[in-house]
Amino acid sequence: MAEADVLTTDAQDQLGKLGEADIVVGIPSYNNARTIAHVVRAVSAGLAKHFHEARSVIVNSDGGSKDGTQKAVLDTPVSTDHLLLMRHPLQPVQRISTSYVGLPGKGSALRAIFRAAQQLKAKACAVVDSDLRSITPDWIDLLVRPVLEHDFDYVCPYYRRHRYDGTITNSIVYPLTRTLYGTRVRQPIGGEFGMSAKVVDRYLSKNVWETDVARFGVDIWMTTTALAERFTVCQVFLGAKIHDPKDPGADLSAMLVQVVGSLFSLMEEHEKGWKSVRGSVPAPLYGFPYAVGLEPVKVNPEKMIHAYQQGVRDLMPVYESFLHPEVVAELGRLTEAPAEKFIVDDSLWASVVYEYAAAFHQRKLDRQHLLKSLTPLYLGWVSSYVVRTQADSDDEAEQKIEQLCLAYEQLKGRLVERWDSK
Amino acid sequence: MDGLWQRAVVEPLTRLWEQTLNYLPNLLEALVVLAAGGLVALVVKQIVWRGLRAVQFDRLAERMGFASVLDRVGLYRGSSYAVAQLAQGFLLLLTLLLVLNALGPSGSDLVMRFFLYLPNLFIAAVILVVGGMAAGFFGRGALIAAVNARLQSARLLAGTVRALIWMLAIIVALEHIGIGRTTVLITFGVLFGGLITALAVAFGLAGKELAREALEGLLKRRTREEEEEEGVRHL
Repeated sequence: MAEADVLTTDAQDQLGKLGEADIVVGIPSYNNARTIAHVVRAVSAGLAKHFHEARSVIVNSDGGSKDGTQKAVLDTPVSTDHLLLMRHPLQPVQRISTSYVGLPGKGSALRAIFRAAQQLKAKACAVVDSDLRSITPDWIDLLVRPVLEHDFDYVCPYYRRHRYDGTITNSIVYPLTRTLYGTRVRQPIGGEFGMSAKVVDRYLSKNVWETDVARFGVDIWMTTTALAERFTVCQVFLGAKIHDPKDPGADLSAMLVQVVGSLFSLMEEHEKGWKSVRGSVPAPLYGFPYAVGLEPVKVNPEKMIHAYQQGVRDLMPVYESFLHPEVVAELGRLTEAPAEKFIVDDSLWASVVYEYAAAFHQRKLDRQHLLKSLTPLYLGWVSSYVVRTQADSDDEAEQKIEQLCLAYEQLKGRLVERWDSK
Repeated sequence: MDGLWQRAVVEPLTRLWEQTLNYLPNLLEALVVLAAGGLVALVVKQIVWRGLRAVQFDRLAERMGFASVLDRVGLYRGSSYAVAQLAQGFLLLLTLLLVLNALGPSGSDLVMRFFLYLPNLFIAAVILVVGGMAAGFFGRGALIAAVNARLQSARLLAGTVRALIWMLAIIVALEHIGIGRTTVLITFGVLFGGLITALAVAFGLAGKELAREALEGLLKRRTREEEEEEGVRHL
C-alpha cells in the first residue's frame, strides 16, 4: 500500500492545513469514548505545561468506533487555566481525529499516526493508549523530552506493577528480549512510547503492515526493531499504569500465540544480530522512581498447578515430539510435586522457552499448535512463581525475575545450538 | 503292441514336447523380463532412497504429518525409505504385468484390466494418506484446545476426532476402489446416525442439566470472576 493511502483524504487535507509540527502525540482508539477524554485532557495539559513553545498536534487514529470516540476527542474542552502554568502555550494544541486504513488492529492505527508525524515533519512522536486512567501531564514530558533534548530514538515506559501483573512479560518477553538484544528494557510491551523522526521513518519503511504486526504484534515489533537495529533506547518512570481491563474473555492461549509468536518471528528476522550478543546492559532510566500503592491481589495457584499437571499428562506425546528428552522428563517429574513444593527451576523454564523458539523456527509442528501447547507450561511457571514469592517483599519478588533473566543469559548458548540444529 | 505304444505314449509326449518348444521362447522372454525388472526395481529403490535423504525429505514429511501416518501403520524406517519401497513395489508390479503379457493373450487381457484399475488404487492410497494426515492434525488440534479449556476428557475427545476422520477416509477410499460400496456406506450411515441420535436423546432427555453445563463450559468465555480466582493478569 502506498504511503499516501495510509491516511484518509480528509486527514491528509487537515494535516496539509497544519503544515508542520514539532511534536505529535498519537492516541489509537476503538470504542473508548468513556476514557479517551481524560487522556486527551492529560496530553493537552502536558504539552501546554512542558512544551509551551512547541507546535503540537494530537492525532487520534480510530478503528471505526461506534460509541462516539472521535467526537469525544474533538469535543473535549481543554482549558489550561486551572493548571497554574508559569507560561502559557504560544500556540494551541491542534487535534485531529481520523479513521485509519488497513487491517483492523493497533498496528494499522499506529501506522496512520506515524504517517501523520512524518507528513508534519515532527521531531518527536509519542503514543499513549486511549483507556489510561493513571496518565498525567508529566507523562508527555517524560516520553518526549529524552527524544528532543537527549538524542534518544526510542523511549519505553517503566511502570511499577504488581508482581502478578504482566506475567507473560515477566516470564518470557522481558527475559528473552534482554537476552537476545543485550538491553534491559523492563516493559518491552508497555503500550506507551516515545520516538524520534528517524525511528518513525524506519518503521514506515518496513513492509509489515499487512501482517500480524498490524493486528496485534506492533508493540513488541517496535521495541524489538529499535533494539535490534541499535537505535538509542531509554526508559522513563511513569508510576502505575491503571487502565480499563482488557476483554476478560480473552483467551490465554490466544494471547500466548500472539505475543510469543510475534517474538519468535522477530527472532527469525534478526537472527544474525542476536546470536552474537552475550550478556546485557540496562537501558538508562529517567524520571523520579517512587513507591506506588498497588491494589492487593489474591492469587489461587492451585488451579494453575492442576492445569499444568493435567496439561502435561495429556500433551506428553506432543511435547515429546519436539522438546529435549531431559526437559520432558523434568516437566513430567513436576506433575507429581505437591503444591507447596511445586517449583519450576529458572534453568528449566529458560530451556523450555528456548526449545519452543527452536521448534518454531524449524517448524517441527504446526506453529499454532506449538504455541498453544505452551499454555499449561506457562501456567506451571506462574504458579511456581506465586508459590516462591507469596511471602516476599516487592524487591525480593523482582529479584527472582532478575535471577530468571540471568538463567536465560547463561543458557543462551543452548538456544543458539538448538536453533541451528537439524 | 507297437502301434498302441506309439499312439498312447510316444505321440502325446511328442506333442507335449513340441508345445513346450513352441512355448519356450515366451517363457524365456518372461524370465528375462522378470530378472531385468527385479534388478531395475532394486536400483530405482536405492536411487530414490538416497535422493530423498539428500533433500531431507524425512524432515519435510515429519512436519507435514506424513511420518506419523507411516508410524501408525508400522513403517518405522523413515519416510524416504517408505517412498523408495513404494517405487520399488510399483516397478515390480509393472514387471509382473509385463511377464504376464509375455506369456500370451490371456496375460495381456489381465494387464489391460489392471492398468485401467490402477488410477482408482492410486487415488484410494492418496485418500488414505491425506486422511491420516488430517486425522493427526485435527486430532492434535482438538487435544490442545481441550487441554487449554481444562476439559477432563481431552484425550477422549481428541481420539474421537481422530477416529472419525480415519473412518471417513477409509470409507471414501473403499468406495473409490469399489469394495463393498453399498454395504460400507450403509454401515457408516447407520453407525454415525445412531451415534448422533443416541447423543441427542441422552442430552435431550436424560442429561438435560449436564448438557446445559457442558455447553456453557464449552461456549461461555471465562468470566472475569474466574480470572480473578487465579488472581493473575497475564498482559
